[in-house]
Amino acid sequence: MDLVEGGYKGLALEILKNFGIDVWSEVKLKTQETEFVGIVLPRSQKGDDRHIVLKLRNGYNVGIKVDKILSIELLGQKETKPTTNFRERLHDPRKPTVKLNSTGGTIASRLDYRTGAVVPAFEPEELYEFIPEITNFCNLHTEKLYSVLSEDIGPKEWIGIANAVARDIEAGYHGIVIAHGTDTMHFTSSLLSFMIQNPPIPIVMVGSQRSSDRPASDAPLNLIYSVKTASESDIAEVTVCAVGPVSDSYGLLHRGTRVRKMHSSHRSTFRTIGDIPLALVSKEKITPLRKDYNRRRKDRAFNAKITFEEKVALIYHYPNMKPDVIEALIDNGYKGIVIAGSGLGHVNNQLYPALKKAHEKGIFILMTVQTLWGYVQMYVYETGREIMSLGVVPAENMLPETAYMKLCWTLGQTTNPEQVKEIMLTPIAGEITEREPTNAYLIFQGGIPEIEEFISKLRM
Amino acid sequence: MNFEKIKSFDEMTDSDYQALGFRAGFEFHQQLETNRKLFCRCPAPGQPYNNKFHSEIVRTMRPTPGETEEIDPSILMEYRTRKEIHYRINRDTICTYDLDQTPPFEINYEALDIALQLCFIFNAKPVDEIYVIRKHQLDGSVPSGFQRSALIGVEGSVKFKGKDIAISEIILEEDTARKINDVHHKRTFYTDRLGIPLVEIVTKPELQTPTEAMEFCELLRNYLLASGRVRRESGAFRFDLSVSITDGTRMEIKGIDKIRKIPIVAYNEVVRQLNLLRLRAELFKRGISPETFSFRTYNLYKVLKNTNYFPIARALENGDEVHCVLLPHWAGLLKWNTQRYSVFAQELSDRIRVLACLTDLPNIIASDIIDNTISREEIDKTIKFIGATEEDAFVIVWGSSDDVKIAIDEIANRAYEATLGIPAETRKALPDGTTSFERYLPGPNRLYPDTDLPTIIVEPARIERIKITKPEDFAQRMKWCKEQQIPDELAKKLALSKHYQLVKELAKELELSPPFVAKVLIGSFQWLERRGYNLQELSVEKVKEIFRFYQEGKILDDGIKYALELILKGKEQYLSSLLSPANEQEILNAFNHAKVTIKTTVIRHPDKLKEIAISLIMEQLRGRVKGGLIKQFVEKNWDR
Repeated sequence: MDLVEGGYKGLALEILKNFGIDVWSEVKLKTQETEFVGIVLPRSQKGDDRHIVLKLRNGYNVGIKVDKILSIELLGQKETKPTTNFRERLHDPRKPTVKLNSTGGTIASRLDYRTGAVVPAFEPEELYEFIPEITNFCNLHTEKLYSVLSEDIGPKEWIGIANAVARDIEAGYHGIVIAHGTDTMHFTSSLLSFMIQNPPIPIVMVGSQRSSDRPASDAPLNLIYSVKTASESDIAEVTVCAVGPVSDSYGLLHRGTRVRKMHSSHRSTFRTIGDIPLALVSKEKITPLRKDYNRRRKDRAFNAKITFEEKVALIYHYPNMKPDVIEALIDNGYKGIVIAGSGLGHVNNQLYPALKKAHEKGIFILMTVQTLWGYVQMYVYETGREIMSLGVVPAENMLPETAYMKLCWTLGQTTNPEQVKEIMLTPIAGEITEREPTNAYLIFQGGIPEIEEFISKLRM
Repeated sequence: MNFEKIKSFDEMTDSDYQALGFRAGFEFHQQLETNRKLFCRCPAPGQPYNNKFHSEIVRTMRPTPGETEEIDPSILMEYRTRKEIHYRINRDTICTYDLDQTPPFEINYEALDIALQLCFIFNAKPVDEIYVIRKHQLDGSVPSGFQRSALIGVEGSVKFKGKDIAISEIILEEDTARKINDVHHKRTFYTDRLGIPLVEIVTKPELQTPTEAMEFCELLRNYLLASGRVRRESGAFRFDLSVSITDGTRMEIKGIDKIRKIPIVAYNEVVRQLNLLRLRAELFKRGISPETFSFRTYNLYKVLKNTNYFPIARALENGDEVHCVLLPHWAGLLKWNTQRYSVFAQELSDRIRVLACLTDLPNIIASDIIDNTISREEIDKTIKFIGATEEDAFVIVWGSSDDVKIAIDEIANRAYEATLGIPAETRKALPDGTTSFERYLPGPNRLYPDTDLPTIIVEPARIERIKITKPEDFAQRMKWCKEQQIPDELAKKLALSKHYQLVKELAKELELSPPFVAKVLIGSFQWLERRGYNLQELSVEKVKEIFRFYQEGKILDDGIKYALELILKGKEQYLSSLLSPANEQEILNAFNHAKVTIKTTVIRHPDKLKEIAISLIMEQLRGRVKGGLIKQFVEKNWDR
């Protein structure tokens, strides 16, 4: 890495060059006030050009203002170590063989000392070098499919992931784990549930909220739980596996079409919405919480339908939303719109003409609820009936993101409104449930005495 | 000094320490007085220490390769212990940031300003651009596994006995959780002080005797208190003492609870190091060097399966294992003196208590101290089984198979280290002034850059503002007190007090004598604090008002504290009752009242009846009459 690659520019670059200093050089640096001995570190590319970063011998980093520098003496060059050589692992015929496909995200991220940010870089092989417990359960084969963050996942990657899963099922793997960014994981898990139907093996998606360079990262536990599930469980569905409570005690296995990321930074961010999770997973055992799941099979038969239509939008209704939002979608040739509606599935009446027009133009419009929990019910109020009469189709209790992915997938197969409607409203992978159990909606409120007593015993 | 004869603590002179090449230095930890924590908006309560908690969470930690791809040995050591960490959470002061569920908020600039101010007090140079780093702590003392920390200043110094003692670093960091329990594989922390801004001040090892170290510690504490921006509760100031001698090793000693214990702890460490150097010499004499060191291990199950020795019998009953480490040619060395009251076998026991989590004591049997453990017959069988000669020593250890594996490694490792000299450790001070192993000495490889926060460029304007508002430091305060002829004891109290500035202002504004204001104000405030009043509720203006009454002759000096009390009670309207001096009749009434009280109560000191009467009268008249006058009155009327 040279100085420019190391983020130095302008005055700082000039001064370092003048003294013949490179990034990772060990130097003695004299300023007007004092003297520092340390290693010249790469500088964030967003940083200014007036400071040089040193890692001092005590381990601390400091920035030193360039116009105070009197001299820099080169003491030596710190060798940046090459990445670890991975030990070759022998195949254990008594253990199942599981495939880990990495697509990026925090779980597959490391620090970049140049930008100072977390970037996708972790090679999948490093994961089990770092978390040796994984090999207790299985022989693990790894492959890096992509190296993208959550927000940059798109149709190309979705189709690529689905094709890789189809190929790996056919190749005879005992289970598949997919490492993915957490922010949009529930989009991918929904879509995979539709693209790969009735799989014979577990397809487990996994991510982490804390990068693996932190001692209390959730990456190791999430990986252990997900690899264990792929190796040992008989739940042959597309699922998301992540730590359950605040304490490091167990993970939860969520159905891919009913899961949602619910906190921007908390480890226990994934929750099954409107139902209960499929299973508890600990290092020791997997405990199913329900019976109605697709069982593991020995055969390799499954139904792959890898289709996608990109011109679909997901919009969030708010009071004062103007029809021009809908008009823009019409003008731009959109083929489908999913609305996360207010309450039971409503939008304000300013939008009615635009929705009618969209429907007449052949755009398929689906109504979901922004409350996330509960069903769309458009008969309760007259307005709901009116909205339906404009051609808007209520989507039961499908989550908005799930409905969005399903519509993208469906419109990739047909644009015939009757067929689209039938596919959308026929449950494929638990995206619509017939009933909401009484324990499906539990958002505890802190402060209530019985809840406080409960969590004090629960270790949260 | 002759290694063979180590002088007692009392016999040691400064020149003895000099001959040994004694060096001591410190890491001081001082909590700052801020309203909020360092990286979140949680309140930093006035009295953080309490045992109240609402819930408990559990975490495990893992080592991670960092910037330089290296993992610090102290970090790996912690990982090997496989501890399950329990945190007790008080939701009033702990938020999701503290539990590493929310990224950090911007640094607390109030804390940063105090840290910068301390840089100036200690003549340190602030760094130009501050980098927050992560100091990994796998012992569980931070739920995230790391402490956020930033180097703020370098190259400072403190004048001490005509010398400049160098301060190498001033660091701003978040305080860690407080360990309350550590048994087997479970360790429990209170999180009451977690996240409170803390300044770490690191000195160079320039103190040359244990007494000097103690005096310097006292002085530095005085500087911190005199800064007026630090917390004063017990536990708000802590320090690690580092000690070394020529040919010895720098040892970091944590947890010395009182400054006056520094000399004895330092002395004990000197003794330990001398003894360990002597031990190395003895090992060399016996032909045991790092190159020739060897050991053998045996599973003693067959030999000891029927033992009556309770610790081993119980362990075997639980399905644990019992093993033995044979150290050839080590006979007698396991009882080699190390510290006062302590022998080398203790070093082995300490290591495996911490690293192998064999916390039930005793956790070993050393062949040199084997009496009253296993039977004579079992000893003989063991010796035969392992093929030990009279020249050999052995250590028996028991526990779960995982723990014993680590214990065997650590026993062999610690014995091997004896051939090298003195291993670098962090040690914990015990109540008797000796120390025990806490962990390997951590190095710079446990520091990782923090990617969650931007760097902070210290702008010249900020520096200027802080320089201008910099308070007088301890030395300047003492100098002023001396100039004002404030008596020594009061001067020190005043210099360390939060109210120094107020005293100075009052004296100047009201043209009162500084010794008088100091005596009355410090005395009154102490009196009020003892009575449980919160002085925070007293505004500077009100205090000034009361002193103005005095200056105008409306109130006596003895009445000032009562006037302040009325204000704190919220009964300011009764202030006027204090503003007129007591007349003869009132004094007489109070006198009679006092006599009745004395008669009707059991008096513990019958010889001091007059003094008691005087104080009762003063209390009743609440400073509206001079103490001297009451004394005269009592003397005159006592026998009436």
